[in-house]
Amino acid sequence: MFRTAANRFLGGARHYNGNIGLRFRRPLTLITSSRYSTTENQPFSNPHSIHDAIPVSTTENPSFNDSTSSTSSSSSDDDSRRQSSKSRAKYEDEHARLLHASLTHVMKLGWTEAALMAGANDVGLSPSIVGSLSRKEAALVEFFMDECLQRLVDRIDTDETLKILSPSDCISKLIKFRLEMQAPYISIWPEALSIQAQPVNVPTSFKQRAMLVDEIWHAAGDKASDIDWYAKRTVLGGIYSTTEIYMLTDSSADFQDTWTFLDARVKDAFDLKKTIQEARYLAEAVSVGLGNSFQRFVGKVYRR
Amino acid sequence: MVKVSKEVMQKAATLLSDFLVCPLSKQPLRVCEESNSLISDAIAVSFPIKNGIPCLVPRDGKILEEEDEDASKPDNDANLYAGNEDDKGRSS
Amino acid sequence: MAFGTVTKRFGNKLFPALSSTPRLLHSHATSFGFKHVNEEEKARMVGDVFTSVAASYDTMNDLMSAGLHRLWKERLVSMLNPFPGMKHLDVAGGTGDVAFRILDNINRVKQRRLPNAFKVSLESETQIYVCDINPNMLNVGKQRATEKGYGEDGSLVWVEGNAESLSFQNDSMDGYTIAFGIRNVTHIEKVLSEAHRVLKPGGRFLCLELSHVSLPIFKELYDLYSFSVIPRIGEMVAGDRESYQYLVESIRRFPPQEKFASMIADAGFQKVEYENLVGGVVAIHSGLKI
Repeated sequence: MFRTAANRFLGGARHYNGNIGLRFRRPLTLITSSRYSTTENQPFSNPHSIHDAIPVSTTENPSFNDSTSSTSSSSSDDDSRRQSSKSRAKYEDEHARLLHASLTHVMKLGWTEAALMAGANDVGLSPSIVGSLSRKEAALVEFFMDECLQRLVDRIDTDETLKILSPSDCISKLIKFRLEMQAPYISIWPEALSIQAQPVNVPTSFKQRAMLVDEIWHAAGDKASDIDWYAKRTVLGGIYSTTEIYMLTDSSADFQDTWTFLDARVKDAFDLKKTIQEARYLAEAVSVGLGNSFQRFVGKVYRR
Repeated sequence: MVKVSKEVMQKAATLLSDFLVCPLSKQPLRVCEESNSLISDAIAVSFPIKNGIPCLVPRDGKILEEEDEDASKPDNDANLYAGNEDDKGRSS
Repeated sequence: MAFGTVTKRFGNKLFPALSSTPRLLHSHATSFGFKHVNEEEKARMVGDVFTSVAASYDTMNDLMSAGLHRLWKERLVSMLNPFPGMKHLDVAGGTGDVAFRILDNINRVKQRRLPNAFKVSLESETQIYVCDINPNMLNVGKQRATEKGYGEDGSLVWVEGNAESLSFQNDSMDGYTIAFGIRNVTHIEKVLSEAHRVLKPGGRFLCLELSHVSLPIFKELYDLYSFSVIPRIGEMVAGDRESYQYLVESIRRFPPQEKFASMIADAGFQKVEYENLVGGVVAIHSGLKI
């Protein structure tokens, strides 16, 4: 699931501006100790980039997850990469199964370790496996976000009606579709948001939201890569976040008030855009005020 | 959570035989109360329990010399891993 | 890998080694610290070391590591992430240090989580098995447990056994830890494969061990400390210089972090990682059984 979206992104049908890539580098050192890992476990990362992201030396990783070779990497790189992808896939598959099963317990137990352990029990794994997840509760929330993104992507691919809609309608429709996925979890969504807001989790949640916003804009027909790119993503990100938060306190039937709110926000944003002068103004203000720090932030995040 | 000592001993012994297996054949053990040991019927070896601690180090095991066990014959031992079930069938 | 299967086959054939004169697997020399000894001797010599240090084991640990060993064990237990109702095996943990910490951790978790009680924990009891090849160490541990009130509910079980040939069923343990024990075994691969055998799918293997320091100046200081200071402390406090000389040398003979990690992966574990503490003086290796 992660890989299909990753391939779509890197597959070339679109291009990105600047330095936003999908290589997510894990920090080498923890606070008090140095850490080494034979694998990287990132959402939406291209399998090949994982090898680049592994620090230290390049000779050792392939053999570690492969139970048949005890000596190291004198064998061809391709071979060992394939083998290690296979066995790496195995425990990542199990993690994915675990997270998927845990989602069914989230309503009762919250985004917590208890939900993860209940999930482990469901899939027949020892609850100890939860200890091997990095940032346990965050892993659950991020998995959910990735799943939702995948469903959105599938919907974009299959829904023909999107193409005939105007950009603003398309955006409204897609954001509505995406937020509806969170509707069943709305009572515990604040908890998920607070988990995403923790400093250690912010890079991943930021990246996931950036990808979400990008998908939506792309589906709405935007292929631009100029300075407006930042402005547009920022604006859409703002619309999405405010609607998401509005939804938390909305008690109307089927979240009708939320969709009204959403439509109003989208309309505002597009009205603004109609005036070229104001669009340029916005773009400049955003890029100067936000873009620099945005770029710096993104640079920091993706350099890791 | 039994407090009476005799029952505790018995319970402890049953508890031991429930989850411990023979270190060599990995087959279940049974408790022998008179000798205060754990018996591995699969390979006819007994392991002592000292001070409430079962001693399941392979070299501490004592081969049992019982009448209907084939354990005394050396060539049988080599087959024991392969055919525990057969041995049990033959000896019973 | 081949090495492992060869020893297994030998083990089967030479199995009648239960009598008083054990015949052996194969007699290639192995290391007792920097000395060359025969394999049959190694287990006995290591046994002698631990018999003699058992009583003052904890004091010596405190002195040698300046009390840091407590932090390292805490880190090990927090990485393990214990949960109520788990079945855990602590190997070579005779005096019970790690086992007690796990019980403490579980009790803390229980108190925190009571409102959201996880169902399985109510159905099954926590069981920590402490396995050690040395009965003296186990006796010391058992005594400490009684003094401190651990295990009164039957959650601690003391078993004397060999890490290379465990007396537990397949797929029965949620967790396996071995703290400062694996460098003393004769066949590391057998210990690792036994660990893999007894763990349930999803179970984790964690090993805390003194390891190799590679930072240049720190390494020299560490060597100086190890070879000059520690045996002397051993002599003064425990009256046993030789044993501590062995302990220090055995650290150097143990494979470095990466090699050990590859051995763990060879035993069938996935997601093999290690974390260096204090620049490599100590390393915690972990693996996942899927």
